[in-house]
Amino acid sequence: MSVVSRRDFLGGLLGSVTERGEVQAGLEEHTAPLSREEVRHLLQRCTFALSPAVIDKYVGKTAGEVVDTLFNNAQARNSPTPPAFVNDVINNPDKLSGNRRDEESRKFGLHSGDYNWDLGGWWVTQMKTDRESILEKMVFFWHGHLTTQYSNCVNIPVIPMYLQNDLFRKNFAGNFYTLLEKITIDGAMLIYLNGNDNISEAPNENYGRELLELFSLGVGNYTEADIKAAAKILTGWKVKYFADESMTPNRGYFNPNDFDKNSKRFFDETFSVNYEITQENVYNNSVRKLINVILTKKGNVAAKFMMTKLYRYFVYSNPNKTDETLINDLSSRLVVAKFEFMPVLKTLLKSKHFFDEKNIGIQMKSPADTIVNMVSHFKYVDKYARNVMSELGLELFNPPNVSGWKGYRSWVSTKSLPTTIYYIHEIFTYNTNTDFANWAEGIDNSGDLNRLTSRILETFFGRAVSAGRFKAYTALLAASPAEWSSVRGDKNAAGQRVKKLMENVIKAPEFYLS
Amino acid sequence: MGLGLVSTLKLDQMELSAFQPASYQNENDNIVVVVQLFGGNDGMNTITPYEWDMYYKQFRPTLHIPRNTVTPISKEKGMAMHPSLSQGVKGGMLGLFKEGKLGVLSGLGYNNPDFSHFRSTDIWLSGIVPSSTSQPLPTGWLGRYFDTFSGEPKPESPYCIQVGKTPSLMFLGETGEKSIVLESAEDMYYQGQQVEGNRIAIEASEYYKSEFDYVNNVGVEVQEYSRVIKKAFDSGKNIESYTSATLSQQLKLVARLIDGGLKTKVYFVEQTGYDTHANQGGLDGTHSKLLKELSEAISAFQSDIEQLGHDKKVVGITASEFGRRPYENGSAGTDHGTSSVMFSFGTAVRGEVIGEYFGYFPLIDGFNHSYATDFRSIYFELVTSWFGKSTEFGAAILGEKLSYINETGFLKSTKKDPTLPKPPDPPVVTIDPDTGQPMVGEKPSLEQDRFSIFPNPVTDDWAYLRMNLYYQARVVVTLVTLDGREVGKLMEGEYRPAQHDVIINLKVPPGTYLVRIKVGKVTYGVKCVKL
Repeated sequence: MSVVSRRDFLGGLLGSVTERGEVQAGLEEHTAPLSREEVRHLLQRCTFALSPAVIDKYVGKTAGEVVDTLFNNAQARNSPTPPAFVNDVINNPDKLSGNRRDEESRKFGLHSGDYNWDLGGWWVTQMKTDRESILEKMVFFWHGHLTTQYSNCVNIPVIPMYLQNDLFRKNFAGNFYTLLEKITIDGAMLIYLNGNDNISEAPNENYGRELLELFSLGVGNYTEADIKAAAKILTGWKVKYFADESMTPNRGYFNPNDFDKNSKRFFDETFSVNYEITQENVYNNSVRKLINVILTKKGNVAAKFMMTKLYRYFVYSNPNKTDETLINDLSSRLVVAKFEFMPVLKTLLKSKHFFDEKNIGIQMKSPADTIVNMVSHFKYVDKYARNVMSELGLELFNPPNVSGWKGYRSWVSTKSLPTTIYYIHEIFTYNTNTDFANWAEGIDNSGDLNRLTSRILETFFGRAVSAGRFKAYTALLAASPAEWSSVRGDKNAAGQRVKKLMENVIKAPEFYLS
Repeated sequence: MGLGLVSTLKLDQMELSAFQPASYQNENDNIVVVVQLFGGNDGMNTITPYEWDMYYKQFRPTLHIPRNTVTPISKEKGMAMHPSLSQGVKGGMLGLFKEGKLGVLSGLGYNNPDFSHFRSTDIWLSGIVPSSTSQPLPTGWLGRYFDTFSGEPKPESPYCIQVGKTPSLMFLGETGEKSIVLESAEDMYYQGQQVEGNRIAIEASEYYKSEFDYVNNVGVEVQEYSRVIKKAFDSGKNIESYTSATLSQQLKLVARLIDGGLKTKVYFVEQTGYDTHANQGGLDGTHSKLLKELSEAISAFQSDIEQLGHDKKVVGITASEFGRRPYENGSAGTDHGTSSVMFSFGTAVRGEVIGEYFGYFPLIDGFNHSYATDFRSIYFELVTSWFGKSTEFGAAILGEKLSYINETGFLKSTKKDPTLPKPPDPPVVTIDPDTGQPMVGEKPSLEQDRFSIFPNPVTDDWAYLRMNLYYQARVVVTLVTLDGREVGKLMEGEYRPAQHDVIINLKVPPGTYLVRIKVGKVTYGVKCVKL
């Protein structure tokens, strides 16, 4: 086979992972007023949609103030209006006849199919309008961590998928005990990881295994016997979709006949069934007790597991030894905080470590970052944005498998890079030159050529570019400040130039970095 | 024994056992085309057991392919080909079989089958048979194959090309993706010219630079390869005509790129829609249409590649993540199963039926067939016999040395290798003494304890009725007093074979009742006490 050595620039670089330098700064609070670059860094990591106007609001404030605001705002907006179909009541079409059967069949078809796409569109709307809170980034974190794929051979209908998303919203930075207890009997999860089939005669270990391996402790921190015991402890939880078949459709309920009433041993703890078997008693003595035993007996392991994942999500996906010391510190704090995430996350996001210059611009953006930010500025259809993200390998409500998205460099591949550019061009076609011009006009001080260029670049880039490249980007708008002043008056001409600039922005490596 | 001899022996052993560092310069010109049938192809309706009563009566009462429409391909093994497979150029895949250019590989599967699509697809694509349901499957078998060249400069042509949308796990190595994904060479070229294809030198410290350079290099690679692919596309041609179906068009592109001189080793094309849980249909159904498209695409490709003169270096295989269960379900479809068939095609393959008919293998759990040959055997043979690597190399890629299917493999070039493990004995087929035909599984027992009511005694105005159904059937449930008086119909519906819990309404005066359950033509009863 012929090998062309002149192209040795490709040799070995792809996929090779170089560690970044060591960041010495620790968890001590970064107390100096934030610079523009620091505000941009914080907002880009905590939200999906960035804008110069929002950055303006927070420049000069402290990290403490801004981070508190991002969490307070999240709390204030974590009950958005759900899509209308969430209120639908559906009866089992198989038990009906004639028109009613057809009607319920059609409705259920939509719930199992199209509406899951609509729900993705609804979520894009939430993401792109959430510029000043950490809510959507956290909901997306949980979606990737406590995963459920709606499209799993037999599709999971939209209502349980919505309810799971709502669970993440309500517990976006809450208590890990609560979240694990609730996800264990979450309707969509019961279907996805076969809790629904986990019955005393034939325990199904799917959920028990993932609970330990992927959701709380990580591989190597439990035995196969622990998994078997966990599965038995969790027998009897079911979900049904149809209103005529369940008192609580789409939510987990307890079926005493499927519950294993024998005593079980898990992590050296006995789970005896010496209580009256009611839904509430079993929830407290089996589900809650199981989570309690995991997080109490292996609290340090669970804390390390979760803080590593959160560090990778918010700071850097490829932490080194020095970072690990910091992660250990965070983990101890999570244990002390009794697994309340909010105080620990705040500590991380306010820290000198987080704001260290070395940590800026080194994360790969996911398609959610690139596409949501784009459609928060330019006209498009939110449901289509969901489809574009799906084409780029991130389908909301449908991660590739139970371990969620791989993240990091998997987001930027020889397929996704040209496809991202292709689809953003499509987004641009929804906008006229006048739209581009008006968008630029909406940026404060847009008459100032250099300032406008820098505002546009900061909106989309993970880091500032060199003076030489900055000049080249500026030149796409106008040869001189004076020329820009005159071009501005002609919306068509100005818009054309702004569009040209944007077409170049999306090609830059910085566009894919955060 | 002299000293010299000993050292020669040692050297021999070293050469045999050491994992040979490969150089891409030394790769042969052979090419593999993988046709992935996404969704789980129904092997039993692809290659039908045309003389088997059980197939027509018990397993596929409504979905069978009629005996008078199929063409026997092995009378001895009782196997026939679906009529759709005779569609296409020169008699389609059946035509290829008759010419000795199509292999029918029966009974492939793996241990502890996973019925999740994604997991099972990943198992097939990774070439790893996991020991537990959560063992990670981080890389694909071809990704690992091309990982061995990661120390060298990238070759002029991409290692692998996937025609489709999403990068497949098959090509993911530890050192990144080994394939270029494209839907059309021209779109790829157009898109490739849109990316930043120049190296941008930035002044920054190493840590930021490494991420920046990573992104930058992806762009450079895309642009470079898009040019190479376009060049091959422009200088290549097709001679045969293809249908407009997606798979045909994908294979047409592959043939043209091969003809254009692209040195890519593996091409991956895909056909979706095999997940026929519902409305699989019989002769005119969804599945038959898919097979027709498959046959048209593969036969056109093979004819094209022969006319273009590249047939000696190209073989193809079909793969699917699992087979389907022998029993049809209640939705005119079939559910995820285990053992199935694969096809191989090309002038280099053994054009015969290899392996015993999987449909006669005993059921492992009442629902699913056992298998005879580990599917990785096929990959192992491609690595060793087709790409010319050592069996040690093959073992490094696939985890262990594997026996070739039927010991002599599916390629003409493959020789029986005594150093490989013996293939496991195929599952024993039981012959029913009454009929003289293969008998699969136990005859289902009809026991009353397959129905229960809970809570029982019933305290509220409702209770659950649990039904364990082995056949799909219309179920009618009525409430009857102990003296046989009917109180009312509780529910009626069509149910698939599975466990079902249904709510029944019991707004009746206290007392003991009989819940009568009619499943098809059989009636059962469960007593319940209303408090």
